[in-house]
Amino acid sequence: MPEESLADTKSVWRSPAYPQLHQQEWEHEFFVFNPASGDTHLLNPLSMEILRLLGGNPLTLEQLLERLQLLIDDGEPPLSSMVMHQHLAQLDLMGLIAPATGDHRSA
Amino acid sequence: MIIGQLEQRDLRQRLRSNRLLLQLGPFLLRLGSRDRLFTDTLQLLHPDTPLLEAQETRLIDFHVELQPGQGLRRWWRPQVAFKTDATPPFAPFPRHQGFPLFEWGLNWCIAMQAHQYLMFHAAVLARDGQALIMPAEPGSGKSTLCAALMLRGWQLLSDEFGLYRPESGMIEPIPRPIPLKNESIEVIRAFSPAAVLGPVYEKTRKGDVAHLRPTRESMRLMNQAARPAWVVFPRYRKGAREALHPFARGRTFLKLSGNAFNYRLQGARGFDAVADIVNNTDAYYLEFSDLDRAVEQLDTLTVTSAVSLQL
Repeated sequence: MPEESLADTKSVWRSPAYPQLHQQEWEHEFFVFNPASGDTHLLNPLSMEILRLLGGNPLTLEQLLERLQLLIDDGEPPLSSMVMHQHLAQLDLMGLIAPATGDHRSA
Repeated sequence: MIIGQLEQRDLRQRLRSNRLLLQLGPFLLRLGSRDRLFTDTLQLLHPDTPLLEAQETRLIDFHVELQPGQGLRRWWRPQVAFKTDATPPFAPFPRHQGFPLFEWGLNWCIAMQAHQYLMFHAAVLARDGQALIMPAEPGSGKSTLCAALMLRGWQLLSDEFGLYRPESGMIEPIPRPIPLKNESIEVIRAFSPAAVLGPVYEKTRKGDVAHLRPTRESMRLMNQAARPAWVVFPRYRKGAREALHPFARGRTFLKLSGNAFNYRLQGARGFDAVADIVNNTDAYYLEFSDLDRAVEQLDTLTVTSAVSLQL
């Protein structure tokens, strides 16, 4: 794994927006409204689960992967770091998550 | 009192002195004009619109005047300007197009100011207090279908605005003449002998336009709000066979939120309001080519609803 990606796996993320989000789910699609930005987003189930987890505690990518893996059925392929990176980058861009400051790695 | 009960001379006097007070759904309008052609058309197409007397103290929502255009141009190509609060929001129209200018200008006033509502760009009709919302893009046949439904007994709430009040969960009526364009004018004339149409304004910015008068029953029910029951996305397509196709809730949310003029301005109130509508209505897609069959299809919604109420 490249050095840069290794560093990213240690970054801590959180979702300060999560508690304020207005949410609706229809047919396994999630619609969220973020009052802080005034934006409405359409999310897939994985993105929504990431938000839910980061709304509770700040987590590193590794910790997120571990927790999400528990939710995946036995027959399904494991989540890759690459997919997680993409989701985190997208959620960061949307203003729904942000890097956490301070030491939260004990979560 | 309603406009149709005024003597023509009295109506002209009130308009000339800017003291015609009209009740248009939830809005109060003060209107002034010196244009006789406009006055006659107003009387033809708004006969059942209620009037208020000057001494009735109510907050007026919109002050509107239709005034002759200024400058040299008025001598060889007369124009008419729409002014609200003494400001003309857009360029003047040819003099004889005063009535369409008034209707479009009023749409602009509502869209700019009535943010107590979540405003959909949609036709809304109702049966027994249950509202059918038809959001649509230009050219979809929305106004033609709306006109046909009204002429077959549906209550017209609006051809242009779904005025949804989130606190009550109801849509408030603002029945006004329906602007029909191009081929739709003759289609509706042939559809019902009861259709009362105003003059045909040729070559306006939206093509040829004629306005259809709201039914007396729709005007009588002007203060009767309706609860959203169905969302139907219509589209005219030549040769299409009419059928209602269920529309997924997520797609309905996307289309409805994109259709509302002031969705973003409303913030969380708008999101929750659209979600409430989506959760409490059945949504369909309707392609149509024949008005009678399209009306028949939409009538089945009310029958199904009545059956489920009995159960």
